[in-house]
Amino acid sequence: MLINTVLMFLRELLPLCLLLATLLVWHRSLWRHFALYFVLPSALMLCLISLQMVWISELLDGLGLEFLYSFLYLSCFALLCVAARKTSYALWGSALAAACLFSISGSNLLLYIWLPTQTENTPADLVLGSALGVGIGASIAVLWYYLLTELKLWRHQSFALLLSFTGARQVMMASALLIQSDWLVAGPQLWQTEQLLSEQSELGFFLQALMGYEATPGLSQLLLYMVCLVLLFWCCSFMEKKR
Amino acid sequence: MLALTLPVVAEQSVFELHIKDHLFQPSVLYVPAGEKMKLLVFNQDPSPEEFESFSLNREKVILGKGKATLFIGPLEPGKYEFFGEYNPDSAQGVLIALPEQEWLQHKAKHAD
Repeated sequence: MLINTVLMFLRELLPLCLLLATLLVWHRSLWRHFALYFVLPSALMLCLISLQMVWISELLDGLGLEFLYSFLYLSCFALLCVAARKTSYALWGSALAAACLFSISGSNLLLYIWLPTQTENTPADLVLGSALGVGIGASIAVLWYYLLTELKLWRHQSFALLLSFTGARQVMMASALLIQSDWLVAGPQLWQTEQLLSEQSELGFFLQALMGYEATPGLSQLLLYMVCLVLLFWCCSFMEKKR
Repeated sequence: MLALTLPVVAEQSVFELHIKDHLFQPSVLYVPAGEKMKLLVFNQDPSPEEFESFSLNREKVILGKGKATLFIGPLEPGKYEFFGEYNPDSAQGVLIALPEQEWLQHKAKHAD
């Protein structure tokens, strides 16, 4: 129970923590405004999704959640592109992008926390497990924040590249949901690196959260990923190079 | 390259899995390799469960007393493990993709 709770929290929060750390490096001097633009829509979207979870999940012959989540992942990517391309939209665009990801992670976590079976377990396990999960995720995000801050000072292009990988990761997540719902054709599997680097390993888990590492990608997933990576990197070339 | 991702229209096989008392039933599911198929997962428990499979690259939250639809394949012959993310100790199963000949034998055996 304890380990499972830690893993659940980490799995849901690590991608969000990494994205938030990346965006805070970008908007370091305006972090208060960023926090404001992030918190309000996040809370609103989380409330709406959580309250309508049953209704959403029954839509489209039981594929409503996949549709909503893939839409939110794609919106997250699109908002990052807009934020990078237009300086005037940078702050609210990136805050809304993070809010999209938060609403997915938050609704999954709320579902887990309020599982009817959780009442049979000791609440201490849930509290401790969630605290550990949040703590580990936040610690990795802090390290990532300082690493990116240094990288940005040293070479702006490397920051733009890592932001592009983080954005393309959201498209990878959306494509996986669209494929499992039969709305996108996977195409042939391109490679199998499960033995070399498992998605369940620590590094595989981290790379999955950061850049959407996939041990068995399909052709359409890779094509989408590459196109979106290049597109966001191109948008990042318009970013202000503030130090 | 995009042409390689275009869909091929074919009749889809449908397979069912049930979740009851945090256990998958059946816990071993045989399917044909090389075919795209529809997997229906019925959660008979009042609590939600998340169907998760790293090897199949699928994850899906199924609310209590709910039904989920997943499309999988075409698969290479082999074993593909899956589990319930919320109850990983009990909810475990394996999907076995059989080559055509073995699948036909399996179907014939279970048709009797």
